[in-house]
Amino acid sequence: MEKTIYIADDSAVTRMFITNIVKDVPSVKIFEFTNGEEVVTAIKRKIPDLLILDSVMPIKDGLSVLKELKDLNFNLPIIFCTADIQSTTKEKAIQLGISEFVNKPIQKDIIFDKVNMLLNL
Amino acid sequence: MSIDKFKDKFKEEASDNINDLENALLELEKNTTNKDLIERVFRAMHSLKGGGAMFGFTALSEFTHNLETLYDKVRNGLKVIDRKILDITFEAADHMKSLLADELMTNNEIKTKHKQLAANIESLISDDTQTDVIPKSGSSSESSIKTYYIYFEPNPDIFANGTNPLYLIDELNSLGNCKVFAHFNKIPPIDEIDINKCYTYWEILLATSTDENSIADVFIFVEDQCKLEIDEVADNDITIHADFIHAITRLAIEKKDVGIVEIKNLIKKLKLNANVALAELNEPEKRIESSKVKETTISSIRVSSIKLDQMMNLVSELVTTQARLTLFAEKTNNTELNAIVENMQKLSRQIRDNAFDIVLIPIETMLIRFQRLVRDLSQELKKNVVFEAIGAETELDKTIIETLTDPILHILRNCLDHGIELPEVRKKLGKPEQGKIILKSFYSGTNVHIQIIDDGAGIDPEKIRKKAIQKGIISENDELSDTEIFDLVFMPGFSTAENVTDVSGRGVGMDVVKRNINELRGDVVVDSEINKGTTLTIRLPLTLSIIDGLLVRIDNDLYVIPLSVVNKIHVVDHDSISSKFNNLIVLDGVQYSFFVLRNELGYKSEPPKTERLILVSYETGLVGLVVDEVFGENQAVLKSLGKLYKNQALISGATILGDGTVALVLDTNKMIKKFSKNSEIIN
Ligand SMILES: [Mg+2]
Repeated sequence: MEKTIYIADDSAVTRMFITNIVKDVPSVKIFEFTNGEEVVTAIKRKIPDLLILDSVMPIKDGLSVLKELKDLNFNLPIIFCTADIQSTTKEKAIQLGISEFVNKPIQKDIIFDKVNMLLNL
Repeated sequence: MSIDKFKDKFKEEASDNINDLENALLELEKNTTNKDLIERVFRAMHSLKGGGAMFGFTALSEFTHNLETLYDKVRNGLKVIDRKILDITFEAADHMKSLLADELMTNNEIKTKHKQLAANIESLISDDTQTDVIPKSGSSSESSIKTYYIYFEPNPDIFANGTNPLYLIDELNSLGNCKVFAHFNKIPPIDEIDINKCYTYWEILLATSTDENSIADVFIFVEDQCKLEIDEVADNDITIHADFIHAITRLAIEKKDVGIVEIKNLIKKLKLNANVALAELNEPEKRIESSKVKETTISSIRVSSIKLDQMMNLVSELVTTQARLTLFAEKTNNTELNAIVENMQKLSRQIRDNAFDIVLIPIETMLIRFQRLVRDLSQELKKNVVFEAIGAETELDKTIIETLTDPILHILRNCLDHGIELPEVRKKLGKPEQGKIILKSFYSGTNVHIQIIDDGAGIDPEKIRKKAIQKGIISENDELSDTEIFDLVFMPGFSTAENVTDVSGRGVGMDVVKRNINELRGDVVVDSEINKGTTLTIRLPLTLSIIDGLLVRIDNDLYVIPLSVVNKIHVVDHDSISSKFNNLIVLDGVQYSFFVLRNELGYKSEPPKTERLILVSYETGLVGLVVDEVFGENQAVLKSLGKLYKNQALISGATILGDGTVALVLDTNKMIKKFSKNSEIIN
């Protein structure tokens, strides 16, 4: 069955980069979002099989998305991507229930493997 | 997809980021405590760092990493925006552009700049003493940061309450700068541990602008299930003092818990309290109402300009082919074909208008460069100038915008250098010390007007006259109106500045500015009043590529007159025209000047008996142009005449008609100006 992946990142080129890697995973449908608010709205409409979430974004950042999803009791696999200089961001994200963590700059193999793993492929 | 493609894409995005950064900085300069703006600057740095690292712009990534650290401190209230930070960030923004263009820093100048800037930024990060704070514009309630000591010891069975104490500490952390010391000495031996119980307790130093009550609110659900102590220990943020934190950390390890007495002693010893200056510098966390910072959601996509050019070319071809089809269909007298062709024509017209609209971009896109110039140059010249843009949403063909940026920059340089006076001078003249430059844009028919208005010294026509005489541009006896005199400013080799300064004297002169604008089928005029200021008006066509025209014939040649200037067409007798004295004719009771184009353009053939007189609008009113025959409306796709004919003034371009013949597009404004100079009948 086709799997749905949401990518939330404010950088178009980063989204392009991730999409370009992830599209090689068999039978996935990818949706891109430019900020936290957009993706939360989308998740409320349909829970994806995987969320790839950026940390620093305008309007609503990654941690706020995680908080909101937690408050809403949404359980879904999340890969959290960050180049954050604050080490606490990672800890907070883990507390807020992310499944995997990817350091920026994103490395192709790492994210590809994690996506495969989380989609049980 | 190749990495190069990503690199290109990143470059595009990065220049957008830098643009946004500059924009935010310019706003931030006016309102240095605006949280939204600080966030925007921070995010720009963050994106550049992340993307830079991902796509091989290592130098850029490392460079912005340090700036991100700096702005992280700012947004956490550990630093305030001051002149020094702003200046260096502006400089850094410029440098980032260089790094994008020359990522490996092959240019030594860039390399040197890089080292110097990086060192400056690093010293800014570690520098705790700040001066030169820019006063905020607009009022905001001032509340400074204080440091609180919090002792928090939850009852062992706090988990049963559904509380995770770590979340509470997290929340404290979100209130400000937080140093947490966890104590584990109450944890029993491992065989006695009950995993449902909490044995840890904490001492926390929190530097925040929120008050004691708000801190207590964090513990509202555990009040009676813990030992809680909250005390103010300092009137500023003492968590930023490395030696203090170091000492406390040592104590926390050595002793079971440090205790408020010990902490207060340490503060006294290190003289950290009553450091009023520092306390003042730390800005409140309070959100200040932002003036006009709006997040704009992305509702547009990015298309490379090459693709747009290709599309415009195709649309041009489509329009041309359509004209040919229409012509052909008319000849066949096939009603069905004609109906289809008519529909097609409507559609291609719509496509043309749509495509035309796509390549229009707002003047806003040029603004940052102008604002930067005004900011940087006024500082350099020690002048106090504010720059304002009105109607920046006005749209123009992107080619026009691209070509226009440099001329406007030059005009602005002139305004700053020669127009706006030094604050002392202005004061003496009874003017406000702060000068003002306004960039005003608006639509006027099928034209766009851009005005650069300053309230500076103005231009003295007498000075220009003298100079023009001295340079041999005009003679002593020439009687010139003020408008004509101001026009002299645009003559090659003319410069009004007493001595050519480094600023506006370098590079191009106003003649080049005029030529650039003329090449865009535009015009520029100056108006000025001594001590009141100068207004420079640039008039431009909305677009360069397609015009609606009136197809006319003179002798065996076809010409196109832009429909936008055509007012009315009259049938006239050649004999009645040729007998008119002084080229004046009365039509419908109104007298008009007119020109017989076949004469003016040098046709020697026999004129037809009846001719057409087309009334076109000109600066001074309607003027008649006489042609042999009028064919009707035509969509002209404008092609340039090439370099060889660049300097002639009468023709703005050529167009290929449906049947493949070439028609020249007349620039009626310039044409009438030239003819009237020859005959001196219109003034
Ligand atoms: Mg981001």
